Amino acid sequence: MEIRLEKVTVRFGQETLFSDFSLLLPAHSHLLVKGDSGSGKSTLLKLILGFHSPDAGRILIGGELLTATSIWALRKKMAYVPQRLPAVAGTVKELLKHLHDFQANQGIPFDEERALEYFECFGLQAGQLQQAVRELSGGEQQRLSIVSALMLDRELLLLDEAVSAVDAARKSQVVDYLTGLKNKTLIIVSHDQGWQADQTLDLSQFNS
Amino acid sequence: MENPVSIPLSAMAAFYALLFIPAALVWYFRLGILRRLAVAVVRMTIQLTLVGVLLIYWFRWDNAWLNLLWVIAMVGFATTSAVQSSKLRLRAFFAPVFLALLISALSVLLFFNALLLPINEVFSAQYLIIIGGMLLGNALKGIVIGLSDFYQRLQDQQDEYRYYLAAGASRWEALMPFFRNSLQAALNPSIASMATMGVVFLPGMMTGQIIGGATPDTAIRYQLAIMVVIFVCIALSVVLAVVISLGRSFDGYGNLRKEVFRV
Repeated sequence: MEIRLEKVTVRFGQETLFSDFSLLLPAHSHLLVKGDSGSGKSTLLKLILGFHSPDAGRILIGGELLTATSIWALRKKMAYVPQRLPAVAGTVKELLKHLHDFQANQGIPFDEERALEYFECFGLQAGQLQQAVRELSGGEQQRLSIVSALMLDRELLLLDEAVSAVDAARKSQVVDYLTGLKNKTLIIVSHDQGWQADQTLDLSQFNS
Repeated sequence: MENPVSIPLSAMAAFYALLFIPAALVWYFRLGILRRLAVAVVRMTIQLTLVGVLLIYWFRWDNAWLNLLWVIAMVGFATTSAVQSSKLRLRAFFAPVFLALLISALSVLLFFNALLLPINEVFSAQYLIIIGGMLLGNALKGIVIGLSDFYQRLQDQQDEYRYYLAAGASRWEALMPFFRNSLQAALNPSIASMATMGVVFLPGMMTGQIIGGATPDTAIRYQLAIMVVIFVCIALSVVLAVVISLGRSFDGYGNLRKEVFRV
C-alpha cells in the first residue's frame, strides 16, 4: 500500500512542526522513522491514521486521498501498534475478540489457534490469554499489541516505538519477524537499533 | 386523614435558625463555603417563594397549554443547570440536552398521567407540573453524572478510543465502552436508592403524601410508580443526551473536539 504525503504542513499554535513536507513510500516497503523527541514521529502516524489533520497539503494512502469520508475505509487497511497499550479492562482474549467483533473485521473472525501461534512466536504463554491485560508487563503488552495488529491482517502496519519495552532477548526476535513481512507496508517509529528498512527518515532534519 | 398542619412564620424562623449550626461548623473548620451556603439558602428561599406564588395562579387557571409551557420552562432550566454542572460548553450541549430531557420527561410524564387520570386531566397542573418536576430533577442528576462521565472519560482515555478506531471500529463501536460506563454511572445511584428504599429512608414523595393526608397504602403505590418512571426517565434521558450530543462533539475523522469542554 503506497503512502504519499504532499507538501504537508503541521502547526501547533505558533510552532510549525512540518512545513511543505513530502514523502513517498512505495507499497510493500518498510520505512524507519527516527528523530529527536518532539520532532513529529508520532504526529506522522497520527496524520496517516486521521487523528491529526494537516494545516496544508495532502495525504494519499493506496492512491486514495485521505479525507473525513475516506478515512473510515482506509483504517480498515491499517493496523496501529501504539507505544503503550491502553489500559483496557478485561482479559487478553476478551480484548483480541473485541477487536474482531467490529463490523469492519467481520471477515476475519477471532481465531484462538492463530493467536496462540503468534503467542508462541513472540514468547507469550498460552495461559496469558486468560490474564487481565492490565496485569501484563510493559513488554508483554507491546507484544500483545503486535499480535493483535497481525491478527487483523492489514496491508499497512504503523508501529510507534512498538518494541521499546520488550526485553533485549526477545526484541531481536520480534524485530526480525516484523522486518520479514515483505508483503506489507511498514512505518516503524523507533529509537531501537536493529531495524532493517528500505528507507530511513530522520524527521529532525525537517523541523523548522 | 386530616389536612396537613400549616407551618406558621414563627416556626419557619425557628427552622431557619437551625442553619446556624452547620454555618458555625463551616466557619469553625474554615471550609470556605460560608458565602456559597448563604447564597444557596437565599436563592432557595426566593426561588421557592416565587414558584409558590406562581403555582397558586397556575393551579387556579389550570390551563393545559400554560401547564405544558411550565414543563418546557422547567426543561430549559434543568438543561442549563445540567450542562453547567457537567463542565461542558453550554452552546454545544444546550440543544441536545434540552431535546433529551423534553422527549424523555414528557413521554414518561404523559404515560404516567394517562394511566392514572381521566383523559381530560392528563394535562392538569396538579399532576403535570408536580410529577414533571420530580422527573426532571432526577433526570437532571442522571444527565450530569452520565454526560460528565462519558466526555471526561473519553478525554482522559483517548488512547483507548483511538486504539479501537485504528483497529477499524466505527465511531459508535469505539465509543461503546465509554457509553456503557457512563450509563452505569448514571443509573447506579437510582438502583442503590431503590434497593434501600423504605429500609434506610422514607422517600420524599411518600412522606409528603402521608403528611398531606393520604393513606400509607396510596402513598406507597404512588411512590412505587414514581420510582419506576423516574428510573425510566433517567435511562432514556442519559441515552438520548449522549446520542444526540455525539453529532456536534466529533469531527468527521471521529476525533473528539476540544471545544466541547468549557475552558
